[in-house]
Amino acid sequence: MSKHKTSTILVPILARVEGEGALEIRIRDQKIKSLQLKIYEPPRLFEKFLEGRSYNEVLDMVARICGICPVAYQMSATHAIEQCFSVEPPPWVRDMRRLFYCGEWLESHSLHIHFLAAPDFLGFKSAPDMAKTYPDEIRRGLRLQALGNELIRFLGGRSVHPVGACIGGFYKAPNLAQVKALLEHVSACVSDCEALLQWVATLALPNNTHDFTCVSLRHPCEYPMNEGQIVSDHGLAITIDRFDDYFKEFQVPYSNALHCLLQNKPYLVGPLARVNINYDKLPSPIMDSLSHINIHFPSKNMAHSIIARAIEVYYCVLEAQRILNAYVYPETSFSTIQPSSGIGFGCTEAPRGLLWQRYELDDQGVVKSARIVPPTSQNQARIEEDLHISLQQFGLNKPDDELRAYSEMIIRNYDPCISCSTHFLTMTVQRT
Amino acid sequence: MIKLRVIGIGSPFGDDQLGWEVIKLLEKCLDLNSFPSSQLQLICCDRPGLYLLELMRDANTVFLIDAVVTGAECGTFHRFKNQEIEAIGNPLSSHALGVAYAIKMGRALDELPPTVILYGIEIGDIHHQSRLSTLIIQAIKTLSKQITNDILQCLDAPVE
Repeated sequence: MSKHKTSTILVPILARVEGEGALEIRIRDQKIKSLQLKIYEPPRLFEKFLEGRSYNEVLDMVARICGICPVAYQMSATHAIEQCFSVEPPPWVRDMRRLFYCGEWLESHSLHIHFLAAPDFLGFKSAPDMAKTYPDEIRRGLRLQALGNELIRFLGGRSVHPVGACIGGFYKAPNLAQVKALLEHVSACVSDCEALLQWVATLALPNNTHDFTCVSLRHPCEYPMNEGQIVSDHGLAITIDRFDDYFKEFQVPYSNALHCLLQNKPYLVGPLARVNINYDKLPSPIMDSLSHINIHFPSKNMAHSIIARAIEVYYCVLEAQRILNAYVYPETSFSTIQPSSGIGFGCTEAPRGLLWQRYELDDQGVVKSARIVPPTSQNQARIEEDLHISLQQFGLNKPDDELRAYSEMIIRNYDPCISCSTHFLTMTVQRT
Repeated sequence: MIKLRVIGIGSPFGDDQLGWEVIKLLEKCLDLNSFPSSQLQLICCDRPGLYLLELMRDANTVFLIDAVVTGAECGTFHRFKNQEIEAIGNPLSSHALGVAYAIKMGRALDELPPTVILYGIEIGDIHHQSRLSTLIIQAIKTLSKQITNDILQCLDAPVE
């Protein structure tokens, strides 16, 4: 009989609407021998679908990549294509794109905080179970999520796979009556945001602190959404066209999605990375609120991701309020496009983090090649690294159910597409 | 308070759009045209998730129409009432927050209409194309007739 004790924790691949995921951990003598997070992301196929398509088909196509963050895919693509055509959208378009993005962050973060993450920290199996004890908090989540959807509909025509954005701007400008009605809804939700931030600060969050690199956009004048340099908290500061000089995508044999490393190391993108890097760009009402809670940024505790999301929910509502207050009906809602050949880059902040795209177009504006680097793919290596450290610290001799639940919670902090279901890890354990 | 709201749930993909198609047929039905919007509302929505709770608000009775996958034969009709809806799976929903989840959440929050009935048609695999299958087209016609009768009954109108 071998003196070594080996166990394999298998999490079978599960079919999902927005992606497929699996986790396999091999444990030998109470140490993790191998750990593989397998995610299958659709953007690899979309890159090929886009080839041969006209520039004016791209936004409708990339909106289909994800049901939760279509705005992000549209915004990175439109910036890249506009760079090819040397188009500089007017300030009205720039503001509306920020507003559009506010809707998506708001919708995505509110869903994650209230319906996916909070049950973890409050000891409930699901959000409906949590709703019996925390009905007001769940209702607040529903209100904020609905507001996010309303903001997306305002510019996108509909909240699922919106169709209102075009290269150069938006097909149609909302009228002043629509703006007034929306502004009332937005303003009514400011108190919800304040309450949300205070509430998440009371959650008993575990200390899941490690040393890792954060990466996000950074803009000199504002909290980043559509524009800025790619910056890390370890000194990186590059223009978006230099992504390939520092970031390397590569295939791992166990996953269809590419991994991505920054100078050979895993890194974090997403709300916590954004807040860590751009904390000084948050407006004073949020700073005031944060001064009353005992959580400080920058933070390397991944469990603080829920706080970062609450901060960004608050930011989106204040930013939407600011933009709508200053709204002026434009002479035109989009710039005129003259197709030309070229290579363009777009990099914006999806709810889950940096979303980088590169397009090469011919002189008719037809896509010759496209590359899409989504945030979930970028976070894969960091999630694996986190699981390695966190499970070891948690104790590998724990029962399988506890290991599975803890793994789920760790993964959920990153809000990858596979975290969409509250219980996505059906675990089989083989112990020898 | 609206007496009856009928909600067709779906997506543009293959047979998953059957809820929308039933609503289109109901909108063309002359027997239903005479009801004011305070009594009867017909709406379509695209994978609403928890927004379904908003769509059901202020209605005494809600009929939901959706594609369903339970493992039964394709084209099978289903009818689930109130709590029964929570027992069905959500294989068609976006991010798993589907009809059953929304109903469960609504019950936990005590925000459901007194009566919610889900009319489902069993479908097979969703093909990412815009066409409906022949079998489901026929089932849609049958279901819309049944729902028309149920609407008339619910609104105390003479049933054909």
